[in-house]
Amino acid sequence: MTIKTPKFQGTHLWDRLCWAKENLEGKQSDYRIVWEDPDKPEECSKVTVPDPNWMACALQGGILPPVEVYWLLAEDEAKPDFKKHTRGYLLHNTKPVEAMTEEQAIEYLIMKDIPQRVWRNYDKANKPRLVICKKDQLPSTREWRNAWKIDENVVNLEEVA
Amino acid sequence: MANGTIAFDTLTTSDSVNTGTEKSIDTSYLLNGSAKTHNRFNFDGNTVTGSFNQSSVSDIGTGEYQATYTNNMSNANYTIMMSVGLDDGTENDYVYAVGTRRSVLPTTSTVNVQSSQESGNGSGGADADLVMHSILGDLA
Repeated sequence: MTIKTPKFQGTHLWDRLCWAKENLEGKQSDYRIVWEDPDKPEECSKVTVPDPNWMACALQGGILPPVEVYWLLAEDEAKPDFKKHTRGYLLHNTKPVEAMTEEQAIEYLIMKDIPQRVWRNYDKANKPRLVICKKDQLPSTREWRNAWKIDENVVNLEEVA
Repeated sequence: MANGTIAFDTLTTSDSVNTGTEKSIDTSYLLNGSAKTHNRFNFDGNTVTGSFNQSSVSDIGTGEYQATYTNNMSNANYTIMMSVGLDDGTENDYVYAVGTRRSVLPTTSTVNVQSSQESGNGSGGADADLVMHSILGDLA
């Protein structure tokens, strides 16, 4: 049965998440985002795992704020005199985003949780630094985990070392 | 299921079953004292197995992850509780250590958690099956 999202604009985001936890089944995504930080080329690849409860919210729609809200809060926090957020209301009062497909949710998640220097112009770098793959495309064991790097020969988003 | 709201400032019990002495607690105390986010991560499975108020977990390297929240915290001066354990079929005594990543301070949206085979000796991170944290503090 499909459950309808209440009109949540103006409702505290945390309360919306409580509603979602109570009413939505978590969605374990098979997608993984593999990325490397261009400012730290000596570091291994990172692997971002979507949270199942968050993914359920993204697929449901009407719960999560636009990703731009998180950018504004990050800008506030980056200021040297930052003490605490004074624009938290943006999370709660901005019109929530509509339902996304799983692929759209992954794109949203990249823009929310991965540094902008990684994904902005990611396709213009001289080596791949961001790849979306399926979980079973990751190495099967975590031996040498700290040596994982994206295969430089990756030519599309479905191939990963 | 109908959704509704019960608004009250104080919760009171007669506690007649136990002490018989009336006890009260402020609703704001309950709200402020509840965990604002929690996470349970399995490195081997590369999977979040329990959570609330987080959008993702990034596997940063051996034994280290970064959790990102959906609802930011108001400030970065919050309290983090952590636990780590193994589920490797072995029953001898063996306890991992866990903490925030050295020199990577929590922000209002992220915390970096690192598990290790030994604490305080620079042995590096170690993957564990059950790495967990929860957070107390104020929401943005």
